[in-house]
Amino acid sequence: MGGQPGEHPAVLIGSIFYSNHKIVKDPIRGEFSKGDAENLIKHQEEMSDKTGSPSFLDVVGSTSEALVKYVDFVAGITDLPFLVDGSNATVRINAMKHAMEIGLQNRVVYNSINWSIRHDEIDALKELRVKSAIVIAFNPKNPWPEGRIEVLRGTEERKGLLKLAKDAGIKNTLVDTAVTDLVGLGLASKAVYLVKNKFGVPAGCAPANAITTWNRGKGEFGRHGYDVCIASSCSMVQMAGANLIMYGPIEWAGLVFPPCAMIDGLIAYTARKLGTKTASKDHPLYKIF
Amino acid sequence: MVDEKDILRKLAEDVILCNPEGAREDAKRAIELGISAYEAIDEGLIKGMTVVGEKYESKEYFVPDLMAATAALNAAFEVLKPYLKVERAEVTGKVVIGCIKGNIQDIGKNIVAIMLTMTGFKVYDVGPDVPPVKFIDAAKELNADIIAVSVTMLETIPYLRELENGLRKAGIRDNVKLLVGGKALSEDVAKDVGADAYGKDAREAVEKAIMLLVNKKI
Repeated sequence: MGGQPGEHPAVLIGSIFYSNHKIVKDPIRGEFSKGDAENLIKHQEEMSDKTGSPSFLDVVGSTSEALVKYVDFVAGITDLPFLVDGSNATVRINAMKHAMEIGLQNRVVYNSINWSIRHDEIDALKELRVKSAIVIAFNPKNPWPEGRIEVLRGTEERKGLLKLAKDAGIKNTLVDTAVTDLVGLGLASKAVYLVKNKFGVPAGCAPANAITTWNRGKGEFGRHGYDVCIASSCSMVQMAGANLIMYGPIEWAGLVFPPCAMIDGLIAYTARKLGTKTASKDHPLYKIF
Repeated sequence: MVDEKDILRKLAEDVILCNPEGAREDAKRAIELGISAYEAIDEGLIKGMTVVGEKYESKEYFVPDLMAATAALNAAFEVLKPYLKVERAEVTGKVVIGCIKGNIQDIGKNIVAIMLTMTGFKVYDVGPDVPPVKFIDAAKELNADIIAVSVTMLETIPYLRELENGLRKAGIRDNVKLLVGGKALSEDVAKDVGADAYGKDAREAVEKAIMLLVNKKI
């Protein structure tokens, strides 16, 4: 992940066991349809193999009990890296502790370090020796792209989130530039470019956060129109240089992988003329066309 | 020469144009001109925020604009806060305030929070889009007298019921009064969900909060 444009394709991250996910029967105890979950994960893997766009999973849980069960299931069924994404710090830390205990150090990404993080959460991450984390560049006091830079860098009054991640022992920091609403997607895209430029860390965002709240888009333009908007929103952040795209429900894999792979292929081909080579032959440039 | 009306107009504009630096400076100038902090808030900041709310409703403004306008308002409020006279702040209750889950439009809530603070309440703002359990946890942790909830989306009214039930289950319903408001609600709906009071606008919300506090202490 990362590098110069055209070197590595964007990592596409689908969410599973999210709030109201129909495969989840009991979100408190973490009961779900294993067959359906396996099919969804395998489908994302197939799309990834077919297109050359790499993938992660965003494993979401609302309780420690549930998230630990999801972590066990996902770890057993796929070799993909995955984000451990809980509804609060306690849930996330408990699940991370379990993940570290069963040897998933190199596969799990803590989701997330954000504006509201407390010292005990930082201490816990350090103690667990968590290697990778998403850092959310959300700045409630300044919603513009520069505000995201400020919250990462820090101010005189407040330590920056990148420094906090370092304090927590994080080696691999992935910045999520925080989509606030649909129009905020443009701001988050610009922030992706700025973050990479200023800090040299991989960055991306979650266009789905905006698209799923767009009721008019869902209702007025029909399924086809809405689907094209989902794919376009991912393509937009990709063109801003996103290294990671949290594309939304894993069910959208079929919608998102082809256009994102195509665009990564186009970026790589253009970059080739500037002297940048793809990092491997698994790149979409060699698979999608 | 800049007069009182100009400064109040500029304060409103600073909020509308999302300009925290201007808001901070104009708040200082308001104080220098002898304008009371209450007037600067009432006639400047809140008027500006009301316009921002209208622009949001008409889809001229979006969430980032609301956040930036709120930041401008807060920048001015920080300057004005020390000048809010103690004698007006005779009440000493604790209020947990927020927008219930599914409601991200928090202008009304922000205005009520500021007016409650001006009145003397200790206000703990849990933010927009807050699940019922977070209100309950905050009320328990802070030993709050009142939970004030804003509801602007009709489909989220069930969460109010969930909050009311949650307070009962947590065994703190008798200690915590539930004050509700927002454009999705009415007096009847508020009664129906078991709220203790309904404020049709910010001023009424503050009046009701005082009444709830007084009745609680009797």
